[in-house]
Amino acid sequence: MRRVLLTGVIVAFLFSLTAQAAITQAEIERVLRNVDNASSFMTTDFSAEMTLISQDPEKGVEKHVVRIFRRDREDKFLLLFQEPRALRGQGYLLVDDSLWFYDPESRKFSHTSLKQNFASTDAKNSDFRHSTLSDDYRPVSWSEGTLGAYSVYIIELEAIHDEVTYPYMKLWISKSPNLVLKAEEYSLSKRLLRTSLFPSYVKVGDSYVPNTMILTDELVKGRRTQITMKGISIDKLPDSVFTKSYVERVNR
Amino acid sequence: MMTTVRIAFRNTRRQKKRSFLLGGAIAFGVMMITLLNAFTAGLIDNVKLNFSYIIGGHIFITGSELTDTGRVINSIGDDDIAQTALDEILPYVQQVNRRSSSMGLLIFGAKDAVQRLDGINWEAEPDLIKNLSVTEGSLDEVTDRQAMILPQATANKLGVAVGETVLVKLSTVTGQQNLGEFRVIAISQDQSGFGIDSAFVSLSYLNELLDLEEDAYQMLHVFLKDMADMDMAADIVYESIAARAEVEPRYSMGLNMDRDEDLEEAQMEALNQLFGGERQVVEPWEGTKFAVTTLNDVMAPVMSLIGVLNTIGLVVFIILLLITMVGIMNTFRMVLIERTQEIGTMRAIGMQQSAVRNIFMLEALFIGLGGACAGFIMANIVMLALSLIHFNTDSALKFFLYQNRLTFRLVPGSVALNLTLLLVMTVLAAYAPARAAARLRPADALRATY
Repeated sequence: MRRVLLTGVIVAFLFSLTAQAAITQAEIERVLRNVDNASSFMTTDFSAEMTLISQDPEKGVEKHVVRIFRRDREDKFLLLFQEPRALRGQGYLLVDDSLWFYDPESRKFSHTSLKQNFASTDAKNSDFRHSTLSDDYRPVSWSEGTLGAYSVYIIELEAIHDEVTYPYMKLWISKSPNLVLKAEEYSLSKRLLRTSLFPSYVKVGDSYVPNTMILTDELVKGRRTQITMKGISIDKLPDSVFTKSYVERVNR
Repeated sequence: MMTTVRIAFRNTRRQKKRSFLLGGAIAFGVMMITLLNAFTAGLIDNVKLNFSYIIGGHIFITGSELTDTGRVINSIGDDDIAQTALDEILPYVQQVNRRSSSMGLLIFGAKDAVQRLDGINWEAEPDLIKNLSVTEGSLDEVTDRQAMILPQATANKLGVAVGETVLVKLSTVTGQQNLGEFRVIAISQDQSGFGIDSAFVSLSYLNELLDLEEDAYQMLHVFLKDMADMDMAADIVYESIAARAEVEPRYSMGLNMDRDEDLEEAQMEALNQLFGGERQVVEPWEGTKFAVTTLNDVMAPVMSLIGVLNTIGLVVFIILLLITMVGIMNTFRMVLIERTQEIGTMRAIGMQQSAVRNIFMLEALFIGLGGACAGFIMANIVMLALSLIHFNTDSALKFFLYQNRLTFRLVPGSVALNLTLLLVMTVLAAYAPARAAARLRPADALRATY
């Protein structure tokens, strides 16, 4: 009996090796590039209204409504708070590799980081930037599997540099088209910090946008944030939108 | 001269009620200004002491380095430069600690709390073990890699007990997310007095979580033997480092009344470096770029506000004195009328004009001195009574208290200034009636019928 079990384990191990060997690293890297391309808007601008509902066992439920403007080809974005009223007028502006936070009370911009939490939600500021998985991470292991009804690639990634929020990630990427359906994000000490689910996408132009995202904090039980998008547009935005002066005057 | 003094002293005692009322007004003014000065001096001492507990020292040397990707990380790579600078102020130094620190999110069950963590090399800081007041647990296992000494306020907030494990989410020096696990070995009493003490952990483990070398550190905390040497010692250290390496300009955190944006930005940079905030690279540099900050720099806004408070107090004191001066002047005019015949008699038997004038002025001086002494004694009694009151507060008021009590410190310079001002103004108030008394002709004075 023990011998049968041992043989079974060895066969399973060899099978998994074969499964990994069947897909080459080059193919996985291509999948990551496809993900980046499918979720980026390189030829158009992008704007939408996001609603973030955060649940916290201590603080209860909080709602934020934010207007997002993106120009991926120039790596720019602007996030403007619409709700709650107390935060109205605050904004995050990413230009020239610098993320600025604007506070209408003091009328000042301060330098902040993409790696910080967005308001009191479980989202990071970097979550609103266009995807650059293929530039930031290298695949360290991969396999094929299923996630619900979808056939997926399951890819473990390691950061190439220290400019990313999470040094390690595990992604479940649908096979066609290549879209991230689930992501587990790990700390430098390889502890699971957050699980992100992307249950539905909408096609806008040639790209896809997750119109629902569920971000679950894996450290505090019961803490999660759901992001939904509506009013999605890829119409051209004026250049002035991605400037500090626009942020200052837009909510006066 | 002694006769003049004796007559002036006798005259002061002749009209006890009048002298008492005049002296009382002066005493009240002296008491108020002495109380205010001593209160603000005590306030400054307490705030400084509390702040030095929180940020652990009087002078802080921080270093920043540029990564290959142009990111600024807080770390002191070249120890020799800082050490050479410290050697130059050795006689003033009580202790130097090398620490790393970070703000972390402590998670225990469904509860969390933001907490500053100080990484300690326990072998190099035995005094900290001796001075830490532990309410629960013990420090026997303090050198354990994952040991944590948690401040009481945070332990209460999280509901964590000794022996339990807390998770700590923090950012590495480049901003990546990291997670550590610490075992609470002891809970420390609120040292700073207002519930924002650091949690103490192992330097090497914190460095690992910050993605620094095991023996690296981010800040040199210098405790001086005498806080009064702070600015002088900081200047020596700054000059020494500037001669060998890149340094940030020194900025005081004082009130920026003119809203100078460049200054505001520079102040923000200096604060960010001290407290580990997000920083911008204006011009790239090589190696370690140092910054020297003192407790006085950080405290400058508080000091400016207290300076304003003292100035307001002085103005109120002068107004009180002016009112008292009018009272003294009127009183001495009445005295002049009352004693006209007496003055005539004294002048008739040979007393000089200057002696008559001196009697009046000495009388005013005695009233002023008496009032000042009484006011000073009353101020000390009030100070003693107020310092006995124990404030049971967890609010920001604790920041200004020492062990939950108000403290007062008499500043000799301020006391001397106030007394001089008082005596000069009192004598000035009596000068006009004194001169009028001196100028009375003896025959006219003797003839006076009022």
